[in-house]
Amino acid sequence: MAALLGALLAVVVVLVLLYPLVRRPRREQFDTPRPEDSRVARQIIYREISHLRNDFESGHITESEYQRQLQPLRKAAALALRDEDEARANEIAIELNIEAEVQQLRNENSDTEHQNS
Amino acid sequence: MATFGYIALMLGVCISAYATAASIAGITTRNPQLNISGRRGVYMAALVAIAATLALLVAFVTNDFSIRYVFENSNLAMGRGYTFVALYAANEGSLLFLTLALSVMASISLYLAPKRFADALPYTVAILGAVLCFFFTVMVTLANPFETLDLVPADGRGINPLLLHPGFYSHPPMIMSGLIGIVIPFAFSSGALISGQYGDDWVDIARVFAIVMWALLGVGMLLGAWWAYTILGWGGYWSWDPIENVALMPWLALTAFIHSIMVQRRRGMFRMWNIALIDIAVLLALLGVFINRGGPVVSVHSFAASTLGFVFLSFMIANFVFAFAVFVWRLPQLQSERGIETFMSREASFLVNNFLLLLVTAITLWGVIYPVFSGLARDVEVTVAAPYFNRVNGPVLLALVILMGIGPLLPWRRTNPDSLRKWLIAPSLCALAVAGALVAFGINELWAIAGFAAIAFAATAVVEEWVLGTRARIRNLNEFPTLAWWRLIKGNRARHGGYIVHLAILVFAIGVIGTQFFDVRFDAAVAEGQSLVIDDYRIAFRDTQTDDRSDRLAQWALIDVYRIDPDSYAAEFQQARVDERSGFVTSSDVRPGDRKVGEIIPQHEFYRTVNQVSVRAGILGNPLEDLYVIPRDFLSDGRLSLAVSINPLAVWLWIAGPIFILGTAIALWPNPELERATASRKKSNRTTAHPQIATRREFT
Repeated sequence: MAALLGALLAVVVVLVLLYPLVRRPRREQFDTPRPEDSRVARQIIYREISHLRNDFESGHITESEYQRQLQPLRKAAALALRDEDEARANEIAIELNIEAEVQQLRNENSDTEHQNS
Repeated sequence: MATFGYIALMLGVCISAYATAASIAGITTRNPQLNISGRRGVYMAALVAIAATLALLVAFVTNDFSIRYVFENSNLAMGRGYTFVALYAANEGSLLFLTLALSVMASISLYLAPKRFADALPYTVAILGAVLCFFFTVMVTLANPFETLDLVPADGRGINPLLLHPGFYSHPPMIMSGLIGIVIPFAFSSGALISGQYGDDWVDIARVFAIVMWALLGVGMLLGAWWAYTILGWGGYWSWDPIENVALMPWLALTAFIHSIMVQRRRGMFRMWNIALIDIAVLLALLGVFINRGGPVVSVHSFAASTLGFVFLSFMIANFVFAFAVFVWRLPQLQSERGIETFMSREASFLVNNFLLLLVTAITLWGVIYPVFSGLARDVEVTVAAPYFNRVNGPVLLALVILMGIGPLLPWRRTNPDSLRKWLIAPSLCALAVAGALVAFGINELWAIAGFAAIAFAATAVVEEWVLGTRARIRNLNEFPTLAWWRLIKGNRARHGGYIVHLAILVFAIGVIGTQFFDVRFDAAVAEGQSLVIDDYRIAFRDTQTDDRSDRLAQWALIDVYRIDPDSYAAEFQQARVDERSGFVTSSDVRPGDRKVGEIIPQHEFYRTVNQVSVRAGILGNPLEDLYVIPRDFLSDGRLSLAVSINPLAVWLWIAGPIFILGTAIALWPNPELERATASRKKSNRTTAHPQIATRREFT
């Protein structure tokens, strides 16, 4: 009984380990930037700005130091926002292309059906 | 169960070796399918470790004494509750538990690893697989927990009676998990280095797991201290025993790491230093595993029968060579983007903090290994005891407490000296007020006064930080004060969770100073009807009860505790002072001013099967002091030999625990906005794994 259980465990393990090697490989994902990546980056920068503002408001840094540290963070946030917009526009363009492709396929199918009938 | 458990261990050897081999093959052949399979190897290693642990657990619960390990660590008289945890009572089972903890935590870490770390992940998997393979192999070849006996005994030998305590459920698993879990941040940092990801991609996941291990070790050590305080009967909670020290040293190195990693996250500095710290932490953790399993240093905690010392020493050396080689190989690429601008900055205070923490670590390490060196050099093994550690570490720890007060007040990059002076006023005044009050109350212990003043300084600095931040929110956002404070904490959980942990350390320090500098002790034998008087307590020995069981002889002393008016005992106190004793024995007659405040029942158990005594102290505590009574022996003439002490402020040692856990939880609590963003990214990745198919389905 124990040996049977052990053998069963071994079979489960082997199947789990070998499955990625024998299944059809997943298609590579598009390597285009995604808006969510930029959104995460932007949230991190906002968090940094918030911490900096807390330091300034609680009197830990002077206004000049606050402004000096704030500028690069603002610039980084703006860049992240721009990246996010570009990625979103890129996604929309891909979706529109696919929609056009699908529409074309539909038209071709309906033409073929029309000719057959 | 023995056969199934052993098969599971054998599978563990094969799977973990496969995880390493598949990951290396995946890297060299650039085959991502092999990398995925290798990662699954770690998940499957966790599965077989769980299966093996369950097999041993079932063997304990069903009293399967055909397995040697169950026979040696259990018997029919043992409470059912302990059969579920007895599996880590000795060497073989604790190795299985270490493997279980590492494999499960490694699986969780791999599952949670960020996508941007994907290129380095196979290296991390290879390292984790190699470590798991080592532990599985040791169990299969040298320390098999499923070894069977030729003849099946009717009953087992029983567990070490000192382990029969609620602390056994939590202290050993937390310490073992914390020690072995340090391998996880080490595997992530080493994986990043080998793969050539010199940036900060490994930092977040390594930081989270470093904090988890640090918290496990911290809480584990505190629970161990409570265990020692209540059961071991030597009257203390920390003895600087080598095994206590080998849990403390990685904790100190991790403390340094989780401070300096913030500098890397915030300022891109200390890259090289952080890698070195995590390497030091993992080597100290493996030193602990080595010393615990047949190392050369004698300890009450170590598995004396283990002969695995050489194996674990070799493993530790191999890890040292590996870590050092990777570090030296990648050293040129680990230069920080920028340096410290001024020493009056938060990053500089972290550097000093790191130096002090590593100094305590080095002092402690020297105390641990000195007996070995003295044995080799002079053929005389010198024991390094608590006075060395207290005297040498004490001033450094005091400096750390002061730094805990200065650090939070310093901003990143640079500080305006005038502002710093202004912020230091309130903490300094509080420290002076506390010192003055202590002197006014007649306390003349210089180190204790300095310690309490430093605690006041650091606590005031944290409170000042909160007050300033809260006031700023009230001023700018017109928030209600409690709401403003709560949002301040939520706004930067890592920082404010850290401050709460600082407060926990300060609360613990109050207990340490109270018990180390102001305890009063008196030992005496009392007969029934007699009392022992110490300070303003009278301990009246009323009766004895005995319970003769099959495996042990248990005896309890019923003791009434009275608060007394010292004037009613003036003559006896006068005589005690002349005799230079801190207490005296008298009759149990009630005198004017005597007031009964409680009853304690200290316990003394003699286990026949293992010829060992287990003592449970009687403790009557309040926030100011513990009355601590140890029954040394029940003498044949009916008297009770007692060791009594007053431990001032002892309860604060244990109050620190929940505060520590709260602070750590806040520091680790995820940022909901970032989590939402990350979750939507993961969801997006899943739905677009076959992007064309997904979008086609959507549009058709």
